[in-house]
Amino acid sequence: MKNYQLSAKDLAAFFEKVLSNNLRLIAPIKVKQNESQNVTKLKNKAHILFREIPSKDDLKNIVIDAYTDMSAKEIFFPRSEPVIEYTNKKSGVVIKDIDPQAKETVLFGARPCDAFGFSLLERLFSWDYDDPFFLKRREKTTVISLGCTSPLESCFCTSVGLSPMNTEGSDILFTPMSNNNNDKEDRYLVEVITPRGEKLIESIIGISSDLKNIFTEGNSLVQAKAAFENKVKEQMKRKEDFKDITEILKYKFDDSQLESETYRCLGCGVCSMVCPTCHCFDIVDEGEASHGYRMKNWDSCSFALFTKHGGGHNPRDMQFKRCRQRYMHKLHYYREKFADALCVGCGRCVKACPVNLDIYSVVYNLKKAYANNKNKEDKEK
Amino acid sequence: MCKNIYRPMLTKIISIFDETKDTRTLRLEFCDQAEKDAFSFKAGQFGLYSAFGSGEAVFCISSSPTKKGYIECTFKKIGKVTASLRNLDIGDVVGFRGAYGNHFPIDNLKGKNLLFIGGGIGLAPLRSLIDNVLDLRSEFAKVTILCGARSISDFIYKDQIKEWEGRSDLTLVKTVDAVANSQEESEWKMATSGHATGGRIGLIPKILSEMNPNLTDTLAIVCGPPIMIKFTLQELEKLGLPAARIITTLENRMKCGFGKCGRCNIGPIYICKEGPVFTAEELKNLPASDF
Repeated sequence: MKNYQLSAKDLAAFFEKVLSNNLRLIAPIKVKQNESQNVTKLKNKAHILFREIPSKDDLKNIVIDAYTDMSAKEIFFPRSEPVIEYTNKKSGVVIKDIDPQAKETVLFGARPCDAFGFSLLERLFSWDYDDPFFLKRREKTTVISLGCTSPLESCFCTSVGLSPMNTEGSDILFTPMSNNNNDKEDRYLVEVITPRGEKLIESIIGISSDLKNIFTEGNSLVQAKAAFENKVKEQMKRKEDFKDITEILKYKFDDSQLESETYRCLGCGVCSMVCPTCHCFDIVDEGEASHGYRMKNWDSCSFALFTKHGGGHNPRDMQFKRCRQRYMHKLHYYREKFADALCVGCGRCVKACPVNLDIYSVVYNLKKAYANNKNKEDKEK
Repeated sequence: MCKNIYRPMLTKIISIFDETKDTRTLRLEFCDQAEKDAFSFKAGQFGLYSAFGSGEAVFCISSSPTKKGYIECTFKKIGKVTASLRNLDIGDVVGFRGAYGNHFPIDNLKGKNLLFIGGGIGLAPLRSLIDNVLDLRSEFAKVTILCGARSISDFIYKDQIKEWEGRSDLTLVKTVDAVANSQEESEWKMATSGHATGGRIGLIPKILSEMNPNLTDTLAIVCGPPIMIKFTLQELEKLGLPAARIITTLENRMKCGFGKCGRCNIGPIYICKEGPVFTAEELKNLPASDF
């Protein structure tokens, strides 16, 4: 597929074209806490979140050089959404399907890890039974990811086999580049990854002569990107490879170390909420017996009620068992079923956890203990 | 891809059977003729039944696939959804999604001696299979049913058990954990109709050991509460039945029924997709502390 380059100052012109083509544009903006909550202490706290950019005047709010607090999974898989509407009257029950409201959308600013997360979720939501809500929105959304040039301390995408500029899951990847190594990045390498990405670029640039002038030939930057990618990877502080943790976890199910590592978990579930790949949900009726909606709501395996039977039995009756489920699901079960681990190394759960539980450290410690044990065994032999 | 997988089909209650003071069976008929014609399932599969406004709950289909035109579910009133389902009357509408999950390997049972062991409400999934087998009786060898309940009044499908007792082409043994008094005891032990012997007293594994059945060319199908399954499987293996020839069902809390909502797994196995029917051998590979 084609590569272009685009000057950073021309990004707004591109967005304007997206909007004037009647596409819904979603990008990260700063959202002040007090817009939704009236808690004085939090009034000045702002979160970076994915939101719709309704008009040209709002383009200035787009935040490009920060990381979002929530992943963009809610574009495809909202926190709460109706799946049917029911009316139950004397004359009978009527069920109405809900339109997933899948509009042609351009999602800008997802990070390469987030984008890979979409492709992970797609495997689950199309596992034998196609979830039309997720899949229709996914089909209508062109994902333009933004390559990472300065990973955070909590980032560990390379541990799970990704990179700050990997392409899978994105339709188009924008990577900030500089003219030479020492300058500030002032342009983007625009890599078109999928036919969907190509369609967007063609439908936007193809009909506009001004855009043709700003999207110039980009092949010359490809080599520089590879070097830049390696350089950024080098900067990452967390590099422990997660590949062999799956094998280790198979034998760690009843290991006391996993229990002690996760003993302090409070069960608040924030890790699942910020995670780009956590997908567990609840199905509940909201409304009256006569009329209401059946809702699909985000849920978390960290919650005590998550697996509690009607009869009272709870297979995961202690918090460490719930944590164990989370790690096992992500690093062992999902890999067995869908080829990859259900973790993209974005580090949001690491930043959000109120008791500093850190999936990377847990894996690191388990691996270390396993290696130590093995050494000991080998010596005894 | 256009189909809404969360949309339930509508069914109408055509009969209600009170099994015990808190357990009820609903017989449901699909409202839509096309859905009724298209619907099929196999013994062992389950569905999500909904009372609109209260939500969905998961039960097995307790009727046999050989009984056409309706499905049945048997449930105990235990929470919000089951209480609402219990409040419904004949003619009322129940939502149904399914059938989901795998099923009893009925083709592998053909020509074999079958030992059915059911405890409490675990008789529900078992009944679907027993009726299926009995409707095709000539295709199977010896049939033995061992069923138990906490007390005499806790038996579900009382009429059906009576009917089974009267058949000469199967052996039925029934037991209760305990009886209330000596009068109940003598009545229970006398309770014979047709060819069956009187009721026994004692837990299923103990009765099983006393029966000391000949297990040559036999498959055992065991359903019941987890604790009963655990000790019954141990007893069967003690009696010499290999784990690969013991079939059982598992259940866990479920919301979607098709492997997406993420809560019914035991280790890497999703009960809703890879279960609910497993052999005892398959269970040995699952982590015991996740049950």
